[in-house]
Amino acid sequence: MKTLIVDDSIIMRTALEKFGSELGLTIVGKAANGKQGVEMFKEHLPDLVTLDITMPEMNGLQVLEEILKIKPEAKVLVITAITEKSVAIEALKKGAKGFLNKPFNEDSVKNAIREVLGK
Amino acid sequence: MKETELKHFVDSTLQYFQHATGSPATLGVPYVKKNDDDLYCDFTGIIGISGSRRGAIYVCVPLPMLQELAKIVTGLNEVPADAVRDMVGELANTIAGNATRSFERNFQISVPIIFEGKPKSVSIQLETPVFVLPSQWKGYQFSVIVGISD
Amino acid sequence: MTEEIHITQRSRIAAELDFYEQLKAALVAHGEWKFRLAKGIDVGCLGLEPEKIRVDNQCVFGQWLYSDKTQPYRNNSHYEKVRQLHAEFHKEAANVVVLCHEGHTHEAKRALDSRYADISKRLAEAIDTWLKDITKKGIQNQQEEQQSTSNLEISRYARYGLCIGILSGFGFVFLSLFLIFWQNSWDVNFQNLIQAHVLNWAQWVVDCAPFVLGSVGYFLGRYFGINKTESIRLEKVVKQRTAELLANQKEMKLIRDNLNEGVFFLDRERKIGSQFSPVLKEIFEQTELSGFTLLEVFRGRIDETTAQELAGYLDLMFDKTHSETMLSSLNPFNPLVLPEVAGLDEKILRVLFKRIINENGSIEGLLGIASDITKQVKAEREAERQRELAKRQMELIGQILETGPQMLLLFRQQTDSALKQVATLLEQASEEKEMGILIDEIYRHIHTIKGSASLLKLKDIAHAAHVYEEELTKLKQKKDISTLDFLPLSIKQGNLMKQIEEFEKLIERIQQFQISEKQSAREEDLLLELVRRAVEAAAQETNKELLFTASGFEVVQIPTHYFEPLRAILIQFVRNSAAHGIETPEEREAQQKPRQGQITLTVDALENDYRLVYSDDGRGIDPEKVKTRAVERNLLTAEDAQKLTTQEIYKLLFKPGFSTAQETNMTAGRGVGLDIVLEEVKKLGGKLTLRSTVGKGSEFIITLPKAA
Repeated sequence: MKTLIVDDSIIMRTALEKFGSELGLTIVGKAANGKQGVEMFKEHLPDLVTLDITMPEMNGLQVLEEILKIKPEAKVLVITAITEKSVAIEALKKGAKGFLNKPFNEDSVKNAIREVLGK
Repeated sequence: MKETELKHFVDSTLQYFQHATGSPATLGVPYVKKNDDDLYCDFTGIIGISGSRRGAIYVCVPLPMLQELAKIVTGLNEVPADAVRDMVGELANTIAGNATRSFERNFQISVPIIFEGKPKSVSIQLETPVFVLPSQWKGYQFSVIVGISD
Repeated sequence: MTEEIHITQRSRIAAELDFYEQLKAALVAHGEWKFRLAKGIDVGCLGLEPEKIRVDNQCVFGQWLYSDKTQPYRNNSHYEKVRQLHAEFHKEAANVVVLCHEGHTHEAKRALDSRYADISKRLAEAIDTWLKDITKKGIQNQQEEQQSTSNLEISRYARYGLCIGILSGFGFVFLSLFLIFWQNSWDVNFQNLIQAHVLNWAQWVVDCAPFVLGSVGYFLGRYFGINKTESIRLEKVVKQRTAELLANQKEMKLIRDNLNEGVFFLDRERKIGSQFSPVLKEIFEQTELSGFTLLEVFRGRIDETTAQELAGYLDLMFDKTHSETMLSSLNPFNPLVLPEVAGLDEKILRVLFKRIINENGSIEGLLGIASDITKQVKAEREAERQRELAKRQMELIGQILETGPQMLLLFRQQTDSALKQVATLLEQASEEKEMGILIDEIYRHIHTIKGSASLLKLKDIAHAAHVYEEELTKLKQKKDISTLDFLPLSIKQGNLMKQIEEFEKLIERIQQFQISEKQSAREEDLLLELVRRAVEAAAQETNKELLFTASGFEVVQIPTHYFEPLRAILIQFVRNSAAHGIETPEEREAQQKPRQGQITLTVDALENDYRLVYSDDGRGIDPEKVKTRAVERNLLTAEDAQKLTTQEIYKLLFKPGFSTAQETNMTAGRGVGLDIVLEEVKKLGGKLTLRSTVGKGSEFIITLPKAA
């Protein structure tokens, strides 16, 4: 399963990469901002994307729209703060398959990924 | 004590005089006291509070005002002394009752206790901070004093 | 005979039905008692009389239990068990009330949860078993009864058939006789008749008709009877089924009506369905629910964001592509805090939603389960508050121990007198008096408390005073102040007083543990120590580096009554120096000054006065800036400002409402500092002079008379 991580925090990227790999995902790229995320998406056309919402350059919701235009069947897991319920709702309405609340831990990340992949 | 709660006491007091006598009462500048500060009036009607909150409500009224109020309320020209005395209890009871109607259910008010001169009772104590609501009615000065725990 | 059997059977069934209903009612009524007691405990079980509760024949069920109606069941094992348990139940309930009246609320609650709950459960079980037994027997009886009824019915129809058959048979016989007589012109004698019979075989057949037809009638009647009873039986079965269904519906209704949770259905339009548990009205505080959306139900009580979140969440819930578990954390109604509004207390709700899938696999609607969790949440909050309080008290104790007793005493005296003066000011206030002046005066006193409290690092008191000050500022800016506007102020003042009281209680408790140690420190040392602390505190708060030095105090003895006012004055100077005078370390280095700002205090004795000189080496006071500020503050006009001498300009600094600080914080204050100082000095009969050089620093000279 080709996976792209889009997150402006290096800690988050590292954590997501680790947990993702442990679940058997193939991390094809790690983008540090929205713009880079879209570029990497075009290049790799991944099946799964973890997408942070609050990012510089281009926010997560914009990225979500862009990448789903390119590949509508891509599964997107958005990452939001607990306080941003409305953002999560918007993302799901825009076609994201799941969301993950920050702060997260190993279990919540893995569960969210499993959920999105329908396992 | 929340501001809305204190406001209920003001409203209840002003309403009482408007409804019972037709002459409005006005609120003076409220202030706050400690519970051990002195308090003196001719007559004081005291309502104790029990249940989830503790404390008391004092209504402190000068005798001439009480006499006049009793006359209006009873419609008599001469009100017997004990009825005048009773008036302060009635006043305290109505004000406290109306003001605390919107308080939570587990909130009980006692029957009024009447004191002449300085209240000596220690059983019904005001809780600090004590809010004094000085008021005027027909040129008389009286106070509603509220000291209820949170 | 048969009628009689029917009647007794029916009345027995009626009696059993009554029995059944009574037992069922008892089950519900006694369940409700737990609720009543639980509620009652909270209010000291007012209105509950243990003597009345203790006896077991006063409640409706008890009266019934001991009435004639139960006579036939007295030997029944169920009866005896239920009666005993019921009596025990009443005893236990009474015990709970007694505990509660004695004030043992905790024990009462415990008893309610243990012994009472146990007996209540056993009683319910016993009644339930009895109920089941009755139902079982009832069905058996009914079956027996049906059987006997149908047999009776069948034999009745058979008898009818027999009679009709025999009668019609005789009819044939008579008809044949009639025909014979008629044929022979009525000339027939008995002998002929016999003869005709013997000879005429056909006549034999006719004579047999009553028997044949009778038998045929019998069987026909029986057959008819069987059919008839069958249809009656079927009808009965239908009736019974209907009754059962009705009973089921009734039970469903009972369940629904007695739920503590508000259960409702949301259709695809997000509207509440017609069936919901009645408690929902209470939970949602609305009487009209059916056909309304949740947004309509909560209009005005939830904010725009929550409303949007709810709409979005419900949309997603109707979208099968998202899993319910994933969505659960987006539910804005778990929990939902409804803030206090006029006439309504704060309420905390939890509404959980579950998809209802129809046979086609699509989402038919949502099942909503609403509960009022205000009590639990408030209890949790209270526990949290207690923990927080305990933590703060520990901090406070640490602070008190560090501060030392003399300083605390000073603080308490000062705070007490300040608050008393505020109360007096307000008490004497009348609407004629200029409110602005009154507020200024109160402000000064509160500011003093705030200053000392932040100096002693009594954070909570300082904060409460700060909040009070802010309220005063708000009030001052208001036009046409009415007495009602003082209510919020009173609340803030109340909070401040509570903080102070809490602090004092704590001190008292500590003092009880403290060994009274001889106070060896000199008062002078204490004054200087206080100023030093003020310097430290101000340095920390303004991120500046300050150095305090004092001289002359070893030689000059200032009368102790000057200490308290001097303390207040000097602290104000320190706060002014830190906020306005002393530059940041970087600025100072750039100006070739030492990083540390120098604050010095010297005292010497003149002929008639003591002279205290307080100085700092900060940026000094720029008369031009003061002028500009004063004009901005409408303290004077621009033309007047031009005419002022430097000393006159400095005087502006001592006017109420003047401040050169750019921002308000705990240290800088809000331009009250220097007017307090001037007032204090004047009260002491002294003089205050200010000298300042731009870029070099400022100097305050206080002279105080030797003779008091």
